[in-house]
Amino acid sequence: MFHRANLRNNSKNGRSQVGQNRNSKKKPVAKLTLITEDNESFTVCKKVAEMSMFFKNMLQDTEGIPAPFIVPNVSGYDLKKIIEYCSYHCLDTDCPNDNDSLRSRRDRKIGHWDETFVRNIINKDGDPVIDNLVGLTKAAYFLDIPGLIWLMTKSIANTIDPKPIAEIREIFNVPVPSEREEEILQR
Amino acid sequence: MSDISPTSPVAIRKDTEGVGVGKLVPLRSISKPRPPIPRVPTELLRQVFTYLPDSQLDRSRCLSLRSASLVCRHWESAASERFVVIRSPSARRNFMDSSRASASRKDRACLVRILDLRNRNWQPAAASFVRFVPRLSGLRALHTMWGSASPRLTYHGLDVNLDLLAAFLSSCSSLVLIAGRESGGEDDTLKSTRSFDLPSVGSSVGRLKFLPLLAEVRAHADVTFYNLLVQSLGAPLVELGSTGSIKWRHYGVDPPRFEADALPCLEVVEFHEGNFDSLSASLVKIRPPLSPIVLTNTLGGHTSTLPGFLHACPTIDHLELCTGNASPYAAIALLQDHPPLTVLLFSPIQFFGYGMDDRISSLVSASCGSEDRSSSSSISTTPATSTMTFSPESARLPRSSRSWARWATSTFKTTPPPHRIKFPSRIPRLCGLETRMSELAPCPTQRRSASEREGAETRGVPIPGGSS
Repeated sequence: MFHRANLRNNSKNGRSQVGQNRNSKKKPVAKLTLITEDNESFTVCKKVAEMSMFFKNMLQDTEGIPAPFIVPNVSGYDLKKIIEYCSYHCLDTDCPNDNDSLRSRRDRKIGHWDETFVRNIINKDGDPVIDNLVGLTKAAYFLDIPGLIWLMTKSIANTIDPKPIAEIREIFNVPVPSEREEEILQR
Repeated sequence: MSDISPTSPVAIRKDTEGVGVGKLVPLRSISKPRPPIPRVPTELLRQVFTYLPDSQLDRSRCLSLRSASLVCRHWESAASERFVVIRSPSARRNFMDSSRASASRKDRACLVRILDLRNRNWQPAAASFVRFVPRLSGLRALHTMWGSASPRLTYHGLDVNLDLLAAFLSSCSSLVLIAGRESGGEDDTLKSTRSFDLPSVGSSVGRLKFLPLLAEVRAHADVTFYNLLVQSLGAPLVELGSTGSIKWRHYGVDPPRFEADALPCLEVVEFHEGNFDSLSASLVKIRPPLSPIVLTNTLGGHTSTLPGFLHACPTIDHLELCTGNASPYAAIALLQDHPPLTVLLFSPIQFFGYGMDDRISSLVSASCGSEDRSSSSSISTTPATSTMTFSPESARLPRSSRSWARWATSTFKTTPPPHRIKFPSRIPRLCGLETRMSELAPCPTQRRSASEREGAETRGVPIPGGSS
């Protein structure tokens, strides 16, 4: 469909036959349709989708573009943010990956775009970021996107870092353990 | 009641009017409890904890990871893999056994990032633990603290078997922090055979950001080892501590010297009871960007090394000085040419029982311009000299700066100071007493010849008892 549309547009513009041939040889951009667990549909380029090891392996296994693919365990909001991240970083060769050493991952600093990206992850009510941060981390983990996993886990670590136990519990909505349980933890 | 449709969720509110029947109110009107945050899988928690800092140089001993491990059981299980506290020989044995139990357990040993050894008696199991240490390949911080966390600038020496320390240094390539507890009981450890890999120890020391050295020397090999540690210190080092003194000449060894560009990040130095004179010459050459410095009884019988050191390191703004061998007045005099000083913790008497503490405290404090002070040891003053602490705490302190100055002046006029030591005419950043101090009678024993004073002043060395 995309290929035909391109040809039609070119003929309308009155381009030469040579140009048409050149365009007709041009490989169409493969796109993948993804449907989330809450029935939101997204269309993404293959290049963007291949940022996820999950999709990359799937595309390799199926040897082609499959039919609309239902992505379980990932909400529409999460997938939207994932696509946003992958679209920005799909050409980035310096993205963190599984081959990076622990030290390099630890010492790596969050870039400006990534920082803004994390800051924009908010609830509908504008409430704590952490809900969506955790949700997005889980989605990134499920889809196996090393760069995004690094970014999310590092952001969560930054959220935890300078805070006392009570505050961490409040942020993550962890119920305060009983005295007995706390004693066990202290031990 | 009319606005509640049959399908809308309702809740029974407690009857407060005593009617006997609870009122039905829509749930929307009750504040909704916060929905639970989705549980973070353990694999992700492990990754999160990987990024928590564990090499904080303020010796907070990885508070973040510690806090995380206490949040709940789920977090504890993920955090404890990376944070191991060994309190007793049985805990040590269990840790080693559990790591050996299976292949997966073996992996757990290399996951350990922080090891907190709180076991005093290492001798019986030191050899077996030395063999076990290479499996802790991911270790980044080694704590050997005993008891509660120490204040920032209180020195704690290592209390680890030296072979064990060498094993850690040579095996754990990620080790960047070693923190210890108050020293003691290394008698047997120093006698142990040192069959460890010295080059790898040296290269490991080069990675450290913090190193407290305990110079308890009993043999030539100990001096060599000390020198190896000092000379191996690398660019990442931020904090250096040393306690005890070494008589290098006695062992026929030269004191260690730093290369010209060594220790560019060194910010904190603590010297306790010796070695400052030997190492300061080398430190002066490299001019590290020091900020706090702690010197306890390190100035020897004279105070000649400190002025040069302060001059070479103009960034020093925090000084803790405990000196007993030299005159405490002379020590204060050294500070007059060091304007960046904002924190001075001066304890001349606490350790050595001199009888002039009240006067030192009063004079220095009075010149700070402090308005309100209590009998506590911490005094807030002007921005130029933000904090001063004096010992002992029991000194009777006047309440305002004016009364301080008046009290100090009158005290000195009526009763001659013991030891006949004259205060310097000007104390750094501690203005206000200058004129009053000049009224004090000159002290014959501390008076220097004019030529000597001139010579010293041209070199930029402040003279105790000299007038500007």
